[in-house]
Amino acid sequence: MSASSRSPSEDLRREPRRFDEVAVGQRLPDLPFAISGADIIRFAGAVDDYAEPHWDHVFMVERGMPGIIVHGGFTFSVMCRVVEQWFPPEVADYRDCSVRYLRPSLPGEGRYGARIASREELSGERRIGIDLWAENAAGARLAEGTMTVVLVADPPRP
Amino acid sequence: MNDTNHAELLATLNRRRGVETPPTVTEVDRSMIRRFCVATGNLHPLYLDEAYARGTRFGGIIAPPTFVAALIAGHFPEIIVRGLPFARELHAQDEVRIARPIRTGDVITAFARYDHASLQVAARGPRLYQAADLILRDAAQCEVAHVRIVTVAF
Repeated sequence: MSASSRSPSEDLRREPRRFDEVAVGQRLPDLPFAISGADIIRFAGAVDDYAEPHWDHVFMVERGMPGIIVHGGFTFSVMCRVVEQWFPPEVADYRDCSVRYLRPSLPGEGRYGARIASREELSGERRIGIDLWAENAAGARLAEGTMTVVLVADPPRP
Repeated sequence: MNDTNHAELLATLNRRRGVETPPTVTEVDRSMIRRFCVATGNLHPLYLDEAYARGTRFGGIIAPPTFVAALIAGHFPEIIVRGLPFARELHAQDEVRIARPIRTGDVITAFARYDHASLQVAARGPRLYQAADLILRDAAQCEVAHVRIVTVAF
């Protein structure tokens, strides 16, 4: 599903996890997410970034690219959304995050994933490190990143 | 380009260390956050629904962590030297330190500072990296977020 085709009532499936339910190596549910050319233009408007690679097809073809590419910040934003499924902002502070863009991201279907990389309690802070990634429809890695969340409360048990 | 030209280019770029973009001041409102969230498909009510957000520990709408991207206009890519003698220039890396969530009503001062350029010679040719920092402060001049941005030309 692309950003443009979403209705305000649709969103991620949230299944918040308690700190004691999390273990290193666990994978969070993947988030399939497609980005269209219209989505790229919408993001450009939202962040006021109209650099040529994001709207000028001819400019990109002249530089040997197939066409326009997704803003890095757009890819990164979708990667970070995966974390919300288990660690929603009501109970988690998002502290540090990082991303390396491995190859240009073209419009199309994508899959976004995350895995628990660390879990520790330091000076009373319950800190979870998470590895993130984005892949295109062919399974090629587009970006890899990390996020640190601090759980400030446990979600209620169902 | 030969090695001498690369060295000259690096020296020129590194003379920019410490150069800053003119600061911009932005008052964050609900519509900015909504536009960003809709664009990224993030429909969490904490970012969109004032009544819901009021009942959370934040007491009102906040922005998602990557909202910093909405505050870099005029700073990135402007802080990076573009039009270099390479075929492609791409955004390579971001590192974001978040001190606290950005919320509606925040008055954010943003500016970017050029840090350095470096060159790596890879099998497929030279790759020139440029690094800059984007700094966001609130009205009390407390740092809200710090973003290290790296670009690559090759």
